[in-house]
Amino acid sequence: MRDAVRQLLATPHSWTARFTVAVLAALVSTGLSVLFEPWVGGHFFVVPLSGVILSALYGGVGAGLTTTVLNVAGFVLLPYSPVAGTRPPLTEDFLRALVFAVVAALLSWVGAALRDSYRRNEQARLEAEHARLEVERTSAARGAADEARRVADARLIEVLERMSDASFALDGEWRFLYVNREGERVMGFPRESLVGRRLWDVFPAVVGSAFERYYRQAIETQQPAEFVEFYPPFQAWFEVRVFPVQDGISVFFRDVTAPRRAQQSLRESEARFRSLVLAIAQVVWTTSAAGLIEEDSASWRTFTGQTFEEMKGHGWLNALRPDDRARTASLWQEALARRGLYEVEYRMRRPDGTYTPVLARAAPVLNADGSIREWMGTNTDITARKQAEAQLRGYAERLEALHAIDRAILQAVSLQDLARTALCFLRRLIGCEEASLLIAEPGEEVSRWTVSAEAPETLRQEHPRSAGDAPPRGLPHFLELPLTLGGGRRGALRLASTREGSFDAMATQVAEEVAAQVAIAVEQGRLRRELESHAGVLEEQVAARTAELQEANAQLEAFSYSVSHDLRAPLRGIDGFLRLVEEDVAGTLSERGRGYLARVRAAAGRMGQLIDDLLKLSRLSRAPLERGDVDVSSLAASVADELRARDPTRVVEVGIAPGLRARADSRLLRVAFENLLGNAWKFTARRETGHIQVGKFDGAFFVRDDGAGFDMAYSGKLFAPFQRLHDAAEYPGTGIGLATVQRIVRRHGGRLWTEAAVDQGATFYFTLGDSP
Amino acid sequence: MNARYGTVLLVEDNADDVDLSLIAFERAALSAQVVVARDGVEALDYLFGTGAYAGRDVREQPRVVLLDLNLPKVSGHEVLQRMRADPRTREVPVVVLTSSLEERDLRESYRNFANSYVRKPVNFDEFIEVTKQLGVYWTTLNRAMAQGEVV
Repeated sequence: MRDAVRQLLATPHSWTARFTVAVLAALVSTGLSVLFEPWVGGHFFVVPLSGVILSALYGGVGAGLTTTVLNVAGFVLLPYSPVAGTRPPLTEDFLRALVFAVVAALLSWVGAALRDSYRRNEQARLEAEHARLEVERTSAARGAADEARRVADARLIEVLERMSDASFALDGEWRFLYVNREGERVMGFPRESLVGRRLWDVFPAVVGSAFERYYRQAIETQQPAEFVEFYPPFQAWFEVRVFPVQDGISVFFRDVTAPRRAQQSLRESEARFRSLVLAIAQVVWTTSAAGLIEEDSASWRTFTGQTFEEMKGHGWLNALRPDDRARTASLWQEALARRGLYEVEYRMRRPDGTYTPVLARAAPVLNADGSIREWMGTNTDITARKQAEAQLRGYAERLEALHAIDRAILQAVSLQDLARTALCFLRRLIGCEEASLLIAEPGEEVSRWTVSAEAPETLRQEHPRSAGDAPPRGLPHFLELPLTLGGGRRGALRLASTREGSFDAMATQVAEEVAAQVAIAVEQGRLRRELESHAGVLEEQVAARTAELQEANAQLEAFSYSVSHDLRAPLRGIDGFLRLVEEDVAGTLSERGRGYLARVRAAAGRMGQLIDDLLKLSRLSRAPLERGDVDVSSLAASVADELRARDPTRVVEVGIAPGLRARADSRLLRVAFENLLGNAWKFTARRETGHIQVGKFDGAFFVRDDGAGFDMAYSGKLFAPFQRLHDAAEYPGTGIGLATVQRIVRRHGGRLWTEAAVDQGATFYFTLGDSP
Repeated sequence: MNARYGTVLLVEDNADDVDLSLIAFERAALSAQVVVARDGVEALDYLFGTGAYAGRDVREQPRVVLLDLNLPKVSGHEVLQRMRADPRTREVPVVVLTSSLEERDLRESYRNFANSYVRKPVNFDEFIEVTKQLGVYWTTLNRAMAQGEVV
């Protein structure tokens, strides 16, 4: 329909066609009006007017007016038409026709005007099209260059779309020409809503900001600009690059908030670290990998007063005390070679010329590849520590001095020794010129020992007239401490100094301690001398007594020797000659006479036995005691076997407990058992069957028999030599046996006792000292 | 007497012991000649041909010396020592015959190379028995060095 209208309007028509259309439109519209007259009434001009408009649009004003005239004619003629009836035309009809004519004429004009205007429009369009085609033709003629540029533009756009930076372009009026995808994302607007709008309208916050300043500057100077700026509405930092282009700018930017924050926090942590290091160490410095100072250190300059020029390279060493330099330099070289920690103490010269002890430390800072980028070092003031150490040394020295004096007390062989040790230490410790010790004996003999600064290890001894001597020459300050001594002696420790304040509270305390020690030492020395003199006397006495005893012993030995030798010889004579007499005169002697001779010989024999037993007893006392492990059970058994062999007619049951052991002298123990078992054997002689038991009870060995026994009333005499409780005729013996056992037991450090009753047997108990 | 059985030198200061010993030798029917020395000096004189025995042929040495220890002048130990120190008497057998049973006498005797150590019993019968055994053993059973056999 629309195209039909456009066709209708655009096409120019010939005069005849327009006239024909005008007549046809008039005829059709009139005819239709007549047809519809009865339904729509005579006042309705819709149909005829439509015809007029159509005609005008098709054929212009002329055609429209033609249709109008023909329609008016139709109106005039209408009342005479066969359809409307036959009535004469009325004035009213003419009025209607007139109105119609006026309206139709107007519409014709309007339609024609519409038609003309469209025509002109179309004409212009066609001309433009023509011109475009002209241009295209010329463009095509320009060829590949243009095509290439177009392709390049397309690629550029593609690149811009793909790049990670946001980008937009503005024209000379600050209107958005282009926004890339990242730009849309960052700015939060689709490009459709941005393109064509002014930057200031979309982002009013940019007005008056650094952004605006840089943009304008870029345009004015035609120079690219680059900057990082915070954009408050986005709460973000942007890194922006601006490029002026012909009649506008291109802007590239990216959000650098996160890296910038990281960098910021890195800077802050670095600053914190630096202030921490500075809080611990007074000086912080860096050197090159080769160990040369190349970077300035303000803290070093402040601490030492060196300039950067002075400290550069190895110049820093000159800030050290000269005698610390060589050692420090070699340690530094050593650390560099080792690529390890550097740590050294030295003294640094301060701007005021004094020296401060410092602890210097450094460590290599490595690159990612492990090579050394630089060395970073600190110096820490250790004055306080050094002072504490010095104080500690002072204490240690003081303690050592007191220990030395203690040792001197123990070791001092003389008063001189003691005085030297105490005075040397004390003088050095307190740092005074002179130290002396005065001791006044009860007889007013005064000794003074002095150690002075001129000869610190030399002890000078004098004997001044009195203890209350004048103070030493030229030493106005002194400290005197009395010594508490016994035995009527008096003493004092005197220190003298040229300086006031030498004897402060600490010095006094030390001196007091030493004075107390010295007093003890002097006293101890005196007591020891007394003790030694007592001991000497005692020793003499002991020596005298020992000599006496040795003499007595020798005499005893000589006695027993002569007993052994000389006492027996006559007995042999008695016995021998009596025997010869017996042989000679046996026939002439009466029975009684022969009996007497026999008794004399028996007596001589018993005496020989007595002498032998006595000698044995004395030998037991003299032989050394040699303890060893002794199997007591088998020892007793072997003694019993001997007894049985010697006297095979006797019936004696001997019971020996197994496993008896002792640490004893087996030879002596054997003698003891010989006597004890011998006794038991002897005193059970009157039993039909004797019973002997050997055992151990409550830690004591015992030998028990069921023989004659004895009255305990006489038990006290039992162990004395030659004491006998029985008749020798009944039970022969010398009375030495138990005395021998007693001596053996005693030599072992043990004890011997007995339990017995007459005819009830006897039990002898003994212990052996250390016996287990 | 019979040189074949040689001599026995009895060194004893106690006259009783000398007599009893001689009786014992007699009863033991020893063929050897018994020479008695009353003290150490006399014993050494005999052995080395000095003093009262000057001129004695010291190549003739006793088959055995019965030596008491407890002697006047020169003790038995010294006699023994001197004998062992002299090549002429070094090999002469010496039996220490004494009353002593002291350990130090025993030790001293053996250290000086006594050949035997016998204790004189008190009982006469035993004494005779001991003397007899000694005489028989040393003068008949025991073979001395060559000089005793030299004829």
